[in-house]
Amino acid sequence: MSEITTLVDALIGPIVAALLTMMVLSYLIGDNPLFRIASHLFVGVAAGYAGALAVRSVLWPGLIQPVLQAGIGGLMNPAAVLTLLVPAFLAFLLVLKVVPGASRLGTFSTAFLVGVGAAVVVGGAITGTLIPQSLAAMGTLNPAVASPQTGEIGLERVVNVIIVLVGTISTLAYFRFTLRRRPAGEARPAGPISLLGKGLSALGRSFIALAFGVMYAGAMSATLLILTQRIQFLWDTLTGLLPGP
Amino acid sequence: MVLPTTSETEKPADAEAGKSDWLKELEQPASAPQAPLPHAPALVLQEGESADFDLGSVDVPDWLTDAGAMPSEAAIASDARPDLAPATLPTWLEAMRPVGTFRSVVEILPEDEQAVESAGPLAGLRGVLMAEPVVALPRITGVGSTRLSISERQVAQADLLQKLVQDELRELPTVARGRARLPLLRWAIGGLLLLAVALPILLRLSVFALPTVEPIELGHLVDLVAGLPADRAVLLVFDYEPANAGELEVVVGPLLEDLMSKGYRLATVSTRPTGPPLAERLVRQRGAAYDYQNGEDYVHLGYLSGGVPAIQLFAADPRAAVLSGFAASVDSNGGLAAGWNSPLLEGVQSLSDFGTVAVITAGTETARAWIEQASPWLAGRPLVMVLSAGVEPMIRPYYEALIPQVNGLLSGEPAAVAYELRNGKAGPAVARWNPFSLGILVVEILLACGGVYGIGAWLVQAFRPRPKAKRP
Repeated sequence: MSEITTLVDALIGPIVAALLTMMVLSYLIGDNPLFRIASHLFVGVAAGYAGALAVRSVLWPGLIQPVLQAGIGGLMNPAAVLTLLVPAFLAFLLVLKVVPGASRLGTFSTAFLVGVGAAVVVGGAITGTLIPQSLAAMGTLNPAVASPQTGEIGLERVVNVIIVLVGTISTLAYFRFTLRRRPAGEARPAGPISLLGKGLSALGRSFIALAFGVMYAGAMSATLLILTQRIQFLWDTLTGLLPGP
Repeated sequence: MVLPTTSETEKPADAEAGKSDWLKELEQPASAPQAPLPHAPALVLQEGESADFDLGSVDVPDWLTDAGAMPSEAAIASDARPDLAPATLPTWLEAMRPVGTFRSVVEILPEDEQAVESAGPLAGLRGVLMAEPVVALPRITGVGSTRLSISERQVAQADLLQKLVQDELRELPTVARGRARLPLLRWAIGGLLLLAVALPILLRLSVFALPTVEPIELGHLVDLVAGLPADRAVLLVFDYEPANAGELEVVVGPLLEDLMSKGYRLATVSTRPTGPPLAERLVRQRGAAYDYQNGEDYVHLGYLSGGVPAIQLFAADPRAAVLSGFAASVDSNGGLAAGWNSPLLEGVQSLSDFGTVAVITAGTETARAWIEQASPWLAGRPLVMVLSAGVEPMIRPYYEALIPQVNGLLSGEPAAVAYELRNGKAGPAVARWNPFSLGILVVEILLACGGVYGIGAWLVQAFRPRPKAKRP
């Protein structure tokens, strides 16, 4: 058994992985059957593995095994009803979503999942992002205060705080899609407030473009590192198969 | 025709005798003989009778008697009525008048030739009206037999609608496909990138010097790792897909080796199904040099299902959120040491019982979810983010805030190279520095060329003399 494992790890696995890598890289030529075969294979394997893992790591230890251990008498316990039977019933209703005639019965489980998920996400976003990041955008302009992570202090930090503040306000101003019109439909002449709003909006657009540019550069860097790793793997596999000097 | 009359009602004597006195008083005295009750003549002819009715033989009202003296329709038509206008139908009513009316095609035969009804309550009778012309035989329906009166405009609109519908149904002639253009530009860019990455690997070129300046956050991270309590396990969250392994394994590798070199015990968990095998592979690879054994030095808690709510549940009560481990190992007593059964995790009841939590991810939302849901339960324990380079700009604000929610940040190839150099052990990050740098250089050149081309095209378009509009 260990010999088979070693053979798979040392020979069969790398060869199959190298072939699949080449099949995916063949997309550079254009869409072709080899690329599609590799894509479908990855999707199928991932879905099958996820299903098996869900049964083995979630359903069996979390539902089936406790039900079998508790027995019928144990399931009458109020705690068991709440932690086993109710989830099992909700899971059963969720399975009914795939049955055309009874799919409406699964709506309750779906609503429960969506409601709980939305509540957790929104609550976490408010207390974990909205309030802390709003406070962070309003950092003190006291030059004596030092940034705890970057160590910035003095004018450097003050300038940084001002940039963050202006960037936040101007980006928010960019998303103000309102324009008052006269009853006849003619736009009002631009006043000072309107001009300020337009200027802020343009500045916000610049900040957004800058952020997208930085993210694109990061994504490009990540992709290039992955390509480097794959080429290195192909070379190592090829040299491993060739007879040594 | 003989009209049957109602015979006088006979009262039985015994019934008269049985009446009580009060009932007899209520009865009207029979002063006069009772007149015959009104009746209608039966339309059943006796033998020898004719079907011709003689209105004089029956009692009929006066208006009906006068009907016989009324002039015929022809007489009325011929009679001049100058004071009455001829009746006219409105056009809409005229339009609704059926053009063809139903006429029975069934001839009424003489009685002797009529068929005898053979079934039903009228069985044995002759001359019964047949139901077939009504329910069975084909006939002209009233529907569709109307003639609409429409104006010229309506006709034009109908023609237009019909033309539109016909145009929709008409098959367009097949356009002859021109020769497909080869994606030469894509091939050229792809080939350049492949060459830039492959050449330093194949030829073992060392063109670019290793970075001497390390990111500011790396020093903080190294200090943070050095200050972790030795008696607490470190939780590593492997929240990335296999597609990102090529980048994140290189980046997190130096951190893992730093932890292993200091002898920290490791525990892994993942909210993605593919996370546990990735964790097992990477920890096994990197731990081989430090003799790290599954179950003794590290343990996999496995798959944490349920998305964001599961992260909150795990932060509040880890043992309730993850029930079984992954890649169990046999312990010294012959039992399986997986998940919470491992002695490594004795005493861990909450997230703050870990020395630190390090999240390895390539997704902004995943990183944000861990920050939002886990931070309140850390009780001062540091939260470290190992990120893909594309995600790092979105998470950096959590790190640089005055009250930071992320205490350590590690992202990108340069930081990984600097970390390996700090560790004093060159690894995959250093090995890929040259191909990565040459690839980045080629990308920058291509972007610059694209930018110059775009600006040039814009300038040419802007300064191109516009053709003057022809005067009529």
